[in-house]
Amino acid sequence: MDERKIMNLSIKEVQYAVKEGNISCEEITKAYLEQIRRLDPDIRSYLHLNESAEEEARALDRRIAAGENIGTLVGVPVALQDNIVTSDMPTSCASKMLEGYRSPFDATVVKQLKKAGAIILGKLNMAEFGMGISTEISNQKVSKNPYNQSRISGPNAVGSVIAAKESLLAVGSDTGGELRKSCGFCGAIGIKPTYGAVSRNGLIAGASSMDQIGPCAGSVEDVAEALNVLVAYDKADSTCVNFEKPDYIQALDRGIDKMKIALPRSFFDAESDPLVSQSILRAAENFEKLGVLVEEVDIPNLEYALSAHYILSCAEASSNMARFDGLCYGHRTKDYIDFEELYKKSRWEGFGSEVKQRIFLGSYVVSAGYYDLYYKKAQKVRRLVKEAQEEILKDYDLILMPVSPCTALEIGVSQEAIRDAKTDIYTSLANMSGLPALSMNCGYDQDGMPIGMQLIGAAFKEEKMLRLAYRYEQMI
Amino acid sequence: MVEKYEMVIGLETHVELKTKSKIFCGCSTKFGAKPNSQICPVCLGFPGSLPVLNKKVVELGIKAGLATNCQITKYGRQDRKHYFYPDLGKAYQISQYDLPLCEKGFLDIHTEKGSKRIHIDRIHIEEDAGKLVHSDENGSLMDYNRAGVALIEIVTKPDIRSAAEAKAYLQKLRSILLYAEISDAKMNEGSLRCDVNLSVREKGSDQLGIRTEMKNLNSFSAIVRAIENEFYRQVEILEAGGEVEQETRRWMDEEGKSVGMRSKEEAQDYRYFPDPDLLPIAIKDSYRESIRESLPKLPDERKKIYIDKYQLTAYEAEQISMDKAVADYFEKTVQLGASPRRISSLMIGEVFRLMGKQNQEEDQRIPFSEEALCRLCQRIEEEVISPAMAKKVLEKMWQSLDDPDEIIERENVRQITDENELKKLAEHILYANPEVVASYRAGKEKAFQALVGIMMKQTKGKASPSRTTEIFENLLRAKEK
Repeated sequence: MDERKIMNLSIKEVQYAVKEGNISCEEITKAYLEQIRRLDPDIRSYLHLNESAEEEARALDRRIAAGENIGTLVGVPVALQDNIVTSDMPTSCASKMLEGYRSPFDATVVKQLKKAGAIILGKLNMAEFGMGISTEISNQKVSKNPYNQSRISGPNAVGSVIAAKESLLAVGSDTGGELRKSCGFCGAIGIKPTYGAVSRNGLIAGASSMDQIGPCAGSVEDVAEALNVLVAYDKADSTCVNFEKPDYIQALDRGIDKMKIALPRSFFDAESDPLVSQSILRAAENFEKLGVLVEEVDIPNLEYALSAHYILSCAEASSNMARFDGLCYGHRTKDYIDFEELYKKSRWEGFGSEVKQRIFLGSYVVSAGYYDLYYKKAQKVRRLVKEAQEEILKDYDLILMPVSPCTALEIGVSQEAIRDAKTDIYTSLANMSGLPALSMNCGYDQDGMPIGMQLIGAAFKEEKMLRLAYRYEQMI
Repeated sequence: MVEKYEMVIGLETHVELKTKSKIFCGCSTKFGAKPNSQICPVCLGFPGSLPVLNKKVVELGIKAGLATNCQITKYGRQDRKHYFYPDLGKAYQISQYDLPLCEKGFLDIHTEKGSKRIHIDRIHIEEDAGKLVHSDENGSLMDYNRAGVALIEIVTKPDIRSAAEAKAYLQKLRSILLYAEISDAKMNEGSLRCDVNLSVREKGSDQLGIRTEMKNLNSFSAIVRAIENEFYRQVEILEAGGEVEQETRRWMDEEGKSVGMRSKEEAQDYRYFPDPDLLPIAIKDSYRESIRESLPKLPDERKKIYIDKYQLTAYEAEQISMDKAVADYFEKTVQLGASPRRISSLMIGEVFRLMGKQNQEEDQRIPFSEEALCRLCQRIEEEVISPAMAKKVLEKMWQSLDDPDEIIERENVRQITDENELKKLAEHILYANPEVVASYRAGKEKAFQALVGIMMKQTKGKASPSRTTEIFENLLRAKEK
């Protein structure tokens, strides 16, 4: 098959083609690797490439030839964000602290993907330890936006790797909106599942009470295929929930009439670029054309989420970062007298400035004397923000709003400008509440940069947003 | 000057729980394994690893709380306690801060001065850290086998007022832990560790003085020595008009003194917050009650039975009931028909002494069966052997595990009870030792004992002591006439 044709196959089409023998896993893998060779020197999505990818593809082909029934993702190339641990490839979290680190175990999602027959192409760039708006905070390199290489790809390269067709499927993490923003900035589709739906075992923790792993792809159907594999109960993660999960592919075909969407317009109008707001309103109109009801609502307390989210995620991150000291793994300083000096120097050298800043702030807000004032208060705000979303979702199926107030920022923009952009203001809501949230393209700005819309739904009801997104996708 | 002061002590005891695997992962907890052979990404805290709570740990923690009369929480939480040290892989210990498993319990102890109630403030579950081993050639080496082993921390209120009380508390606590099979509680293996918080104040005052914390206490007797040393050290400071420095001190048992560890300007801030990787612990009433039902009869209960039913003295009852294995053994021999008082006297007198002779590292077990001891006891009752001879037989039983009857025959230690035989021997002794008899007539009681002693020697200890005494008495009185 022609290379271009291969890279336009959806996951379902790959399933069919492989089953029918029209294509081999090796061919698919080679096509994508060739694309990476062509584009990645510019786009810079990948931090590590799987040197055994073709060999693994050939091994899969042998098993298929032997009549083995492997899984729903057989032959599907996957790229993993570099904070998901892999035992056969380095995991660096884009940090000097973990440069070259080899995990002794595989993340649960890695095992799930491999069991389903997926082929891991490599590990994707991200902001160092997930802390930062763009990969400019990465130790290694800056990932570019395929739509315009002077713009960022987002907090990681998960969306851009899909937009550049450097992989068919990407799996990343979302603590304050990273996965969704990357999708939004690059025109891809991604979902942060309900907290507890996907195992966090093997995800290098940022903010443990908010992190979730989710899939990103070029179509809703592909995302649904990925969810079928990723959503599964895992005993190794105590926060993973055992619930009766639907078949997300089958759920796509169920009807969407009588669906009600809440539109907190005054909330997002306040901070969004006018073009972004307009795109959301246009999407709302299109939903209505599909027979769905869209109503403007006021949801209280949402504006407090961002600062509370920052306090809590810094607090948890400062704790999760404490284990990196160069003792058993990771960067170890060359000269030291005692363990105290070993710790101080290794950590100072290994962490970038953004990570250090968040560790300082995080330690401060849980320290004696400030705990009640900051951490505890932020937790109370969190409960209010969560309840506000849950309350609305009693009467509405989904909440619609932008992914970010703006489109992809320019590379090299100042840190102040980045903070002022408040790109997490809409995405942090779902991390605070644990509710599922989907990100999908709904238009372009005057420079042709993608605008992303966000659908937030009730806990463990991912199939509803997928259904609506599917119909919307078919309509556009 | 010492008399005007009293010591105020609170004890913090860490106890390793007797679970097969660690608190948050499936690694083995077996003691003495090769370094770093019982580890995994979870107990080492490798990136991406997550803890999963071992349910047995909660069960044993609740058991410990019930056995010490605590209130068991309905809703517990686990918190991260942050500090940096090489033996702590995650740089935080998962412990419990403000919602511990158990609270507000007590233990009743008995010392020479009488009974006393020591209040327990709280019991909580937490994970142990690894072990640092210092060597001259290799620097500091880390063994993480112990990292993640389940612990309970038992904290008393500052109710203890003497080293004797501290020892009695620890003995009682240990006894309960063994009874309920919560822990092996061996100080020499580190499954029972105790830190002493001690302050001094003038008798009659209700203000608490400044306290020090003492660590590195590796035996009950070391604790007693450390307490007495610290008390005097603090009294001296106060008497000289100084102030006790709040610090942690390390006890050096060989040198008989403690040294201050690097003291910090302010107390360590552990930045506690609830661990987001773990769910709260919800304890249903039915679960708690099912654990209560699984508790065996605890020492105090057995002690009462021994006193009421078997007429043991309080001291004897305390001694027998302290160790569950010993108490079970005792009860079985009584069931087999032995006289409780005689068994208890044999056990406390001889068996305990022999148990103490054994290597302290191993479990102290009585090597022969209850049935054998019961029979030995019966032989004493039947006057087949004398109580004194029984001690020798017992020692032989301990060494060779031979049957008591066999030993009695083989060693030819049957008691001579035949009156005529004894009378003949006695008459002969009196005839052969006129000076001793004269001494006795002169009023020296010791002379009588000397006569008995000669009889014993001549019969190689086989003469029945009671009969011998009776016979000599009769003969001497007769001769008087």
